[in-house]
Amino acid sequence: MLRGIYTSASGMLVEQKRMDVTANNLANVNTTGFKKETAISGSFQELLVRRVNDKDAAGNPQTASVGTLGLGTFLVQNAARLSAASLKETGNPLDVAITGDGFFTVQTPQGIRYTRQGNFTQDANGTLVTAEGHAVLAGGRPITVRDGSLTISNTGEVRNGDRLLGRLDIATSQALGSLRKEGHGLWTRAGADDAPLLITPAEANGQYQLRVGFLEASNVESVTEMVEMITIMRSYEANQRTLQVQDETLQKAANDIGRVSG
Amino acid sequence: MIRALQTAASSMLANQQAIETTANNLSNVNTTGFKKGRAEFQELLYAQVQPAAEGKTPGLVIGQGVRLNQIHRIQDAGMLQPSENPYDLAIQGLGFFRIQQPDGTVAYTRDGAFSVDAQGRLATASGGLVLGQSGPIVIPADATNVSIKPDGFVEYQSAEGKTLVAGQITLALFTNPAGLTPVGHNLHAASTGASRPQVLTPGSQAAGKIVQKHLEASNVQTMEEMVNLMAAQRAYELNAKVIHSTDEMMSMANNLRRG
Repeated sequence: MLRGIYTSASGMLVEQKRMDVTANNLANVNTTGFKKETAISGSFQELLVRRVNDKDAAGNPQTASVGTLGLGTFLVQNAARLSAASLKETGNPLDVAITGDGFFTVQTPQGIRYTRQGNFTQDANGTLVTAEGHAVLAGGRPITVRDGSLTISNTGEVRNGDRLLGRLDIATSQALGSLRKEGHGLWTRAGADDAPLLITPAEANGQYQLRVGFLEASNVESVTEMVEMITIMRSYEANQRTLQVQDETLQKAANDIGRVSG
Repeated sequence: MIRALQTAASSMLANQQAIETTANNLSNVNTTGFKKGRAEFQELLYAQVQPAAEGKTPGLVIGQGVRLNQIHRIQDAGMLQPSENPYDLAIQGLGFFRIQQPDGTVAYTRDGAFSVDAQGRLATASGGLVLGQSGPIVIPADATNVSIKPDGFVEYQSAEGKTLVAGQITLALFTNPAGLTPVGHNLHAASTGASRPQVLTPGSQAAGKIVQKHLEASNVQTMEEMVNLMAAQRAYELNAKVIHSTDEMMSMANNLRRG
């Protein structure tokens, strides 16, 4: 009986965390290059229930299994969904969108990080930077142009007028391996210091494409998230009811059984 | 639970600021030389709620919401609108007019709706003086046929019919014009984010040429702003729903123990 109460409570806790994930998805419905998250839940190891104190016809103890008993659920991890988002045309020459599987490489004080946010600008020194101020890497180095004639092409070539300065460093999630969100639009990977395999648009073979003058919208679909939110709420409610029913049953056991009526 | 509440609240705040940006853009749809602001959102940091399993999964990492990262001034050129006023100037390029303000500091503007003040100086509507190679540009009261050339030379005909030069307007070029600080009246102050101004004569480098009898219109596009407004408003609503649902869930937890 008490075990059931904990099982219901574990369900409520999971739904609460899933609500946190959904809230973050909905909060970022307008964030450039945001990739929605899905929480993945798992169940606690099931317990094999056996008979005890049971004897067969001959009086020998029997311990046959009667099946398994679940002990509740917990959230294992969350995974970012890299599904495509719509592109927004901005016409801004330093806005770059990636369609397909690709990440820009940026230099942060903590080391190399990856991002899908292509709303670049130039800082006061003329260096091409992200909205957070991290230098965008091309050929492993930041790109600096002082006289305001920096252009980026759909093949990732960064030019100053006619002079080729380099190609944007772009890595695919396949080459990056296990990616984790850090926040502020940045992604990091396990073994962050290893150099990732960079793939130029020419070699990408359709894995990704660059679009200059576009921004990638968030891939959060508000309808899906609203449905998710309703599911979470109702499932939370169901667990809450189950818990209450068990509480009532326990109340009966504690107060009513064995009462001398009178 | 509290996290979901704060996540949704952060988004409501950011979207409210985005709506304010759109409102400012829309109210400046007819402001000469105005550059629209673009609200740029950014995720907040992610919290590791559950540690990563050894070398396997990244664990449970939950985001904490969103903030308005910056309002990026988009430097697209506005349309050039013809006018009859000889002191209406537009810049075809990336430069800014240099304006000496009454307090002596220099401000920068794309708004070239100038006039001549009582002392014959080329000035903005708010009384700032347009700076040339050698200080303010003075046009005598009896001057006629004032002509401002693409390279910034201000020429006029004197009463005797001679063509004289009043000065050459100079432009300032910034590495990152989006980093200038707006100070109102269509003026901008230099800032560390924009780099030091590079003073150039019109036509050199990317500063651009001066076009007389034209004004640069605002680069705000109403359709785009309306779409942004709708997106921000809906996002605001969605997050209000999240707060509502979270609140309901908290109330269910509160009501677990009855009687």
